[in-house]
Amino acid sequence: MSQIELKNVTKAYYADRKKSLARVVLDNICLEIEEGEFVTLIGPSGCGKTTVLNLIAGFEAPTLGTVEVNGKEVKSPSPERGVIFQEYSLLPWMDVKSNIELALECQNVPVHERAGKISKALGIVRMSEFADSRPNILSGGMKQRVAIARLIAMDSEIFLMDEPFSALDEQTRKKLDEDIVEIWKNSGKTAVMVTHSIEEALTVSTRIIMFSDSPGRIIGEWRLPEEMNRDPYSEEFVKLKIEIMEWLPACPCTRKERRWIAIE
Amino acid sequence: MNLGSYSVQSFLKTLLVFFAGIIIVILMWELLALYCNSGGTVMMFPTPAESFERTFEWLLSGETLYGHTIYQHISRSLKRWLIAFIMASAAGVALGSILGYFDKIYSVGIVPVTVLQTIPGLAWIPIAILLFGLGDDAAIFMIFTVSFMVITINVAGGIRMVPETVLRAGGMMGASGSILFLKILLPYASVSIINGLRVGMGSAWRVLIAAEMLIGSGIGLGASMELLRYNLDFIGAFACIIIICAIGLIVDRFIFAEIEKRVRHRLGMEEGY
Repeated sequence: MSQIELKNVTKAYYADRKKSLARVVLDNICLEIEEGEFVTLIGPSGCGKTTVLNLIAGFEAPTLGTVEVNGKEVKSPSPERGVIFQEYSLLPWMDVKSNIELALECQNVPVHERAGKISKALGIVRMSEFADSRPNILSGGMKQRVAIARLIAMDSEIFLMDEPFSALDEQTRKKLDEDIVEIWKNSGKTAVMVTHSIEEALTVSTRIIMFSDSPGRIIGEWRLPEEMNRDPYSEEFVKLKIEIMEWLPACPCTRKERRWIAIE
Repeated sequence: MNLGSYSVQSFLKTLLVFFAGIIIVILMWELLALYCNSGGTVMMFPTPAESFERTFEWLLSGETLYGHTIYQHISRSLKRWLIAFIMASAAGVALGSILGYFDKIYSVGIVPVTVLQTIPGLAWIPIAILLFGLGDDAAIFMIFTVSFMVITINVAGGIRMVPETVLRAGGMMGASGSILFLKILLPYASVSIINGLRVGMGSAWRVLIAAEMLIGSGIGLGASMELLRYNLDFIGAFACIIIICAIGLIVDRFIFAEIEKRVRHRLGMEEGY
């Protein structure tokens, strides 16, 4: 049994107010993710890759099919499935350590254990000196580091990341990609990341899953060996990047007719 | 290094801007008085100078107005207002929180709240008199009802406006019940809540004056104003209006605006410290 299992998942939204049209975002997706994998989901925007993440997180329910984590159906969000959001999700009126402490408080971690967990987590993401700062003085990259520290402190089994570094500059993003890989390697957790950057996917993951334009279907899968050369200028990396790029589905605007489906 | 801290200069500037606003109001009043009085009407339109003179006379000489000093009138009005406003705030924040938190209750509960809110303050007079007779209680009831609805709607709206990402982050952390409500929703909504209290306070003050004019017990600013008007002492009535406006302005600018500023800062909505 895989740790995360999407069984014949279809997700559709109403596309108009009269509820006569539906937009099928995910079309009969089957996906299994094993414990300890680092999976990236790529594909054109609007292809439903974020929806997959939201389904695993429990923020949304599938229209058809089931989502199971550790053999149990996902019904609601839970700390075992930690999420790093694209937008910054720290509470602005709390300093960094209180933000993390809130997550621990929600899980009823005893007060005397909290400080240790917080400082350990902040140490891992190298944010210890900002423990007393409020998020509004932190840069975007630092805020995401704190969000990562929050999941480390919560000891989430699965890290779900929705384009976590897409708003950051190239340099910061590269650094955070390296860091997240290191954290993942050391912790042995499962990671699922949505990204629109093939290069980022090639840098971090052990498996890349490509979605087609809407309705989203899985149209490609690449398993990357652990020992693969992750240097973006290496021959292996470039070759794989070109292969994936050529596999990408055609421009969404040319296939509009498939986006809407009438409800009977 | 000075990063533009709150200096004496900037305080004076704020004060100057504040008085500039007041001067505009007084100028408009003066022009209106000039215009009205140029036609040789029977009743003179009170000018700002006359009215302010009367106000200071009351405030400084201790002269009584219908058996009470102006301070007694003011304190009686403030007392009614404060009692009603505190009750309305407590009830409004409580009901607003419930409506904002529970989606299903909101869709049902917001209807009566909106219906009651559309009733003009003065329309509550018959109901107030039927329920409480003439006197303080009826006035307090009117003030309470009007500000209660305003506060409820703002509080519920504020809680419902909490961004989806924040709710999801809360869910992901396992926040629920009182932690979710007290540590996430309420702080997020606090600026709306304060704004609701502010608007509620304003409407409470307006209704108070109206209520006192009609069902008060002969003491209070609204009651005095009504008596002055009956006796065709328009200067006196205008002097009352000056006091009413001054109190409203002071409470809004110096209490609520200050609280709002602090809360915004506390919430981290402003950059830096």
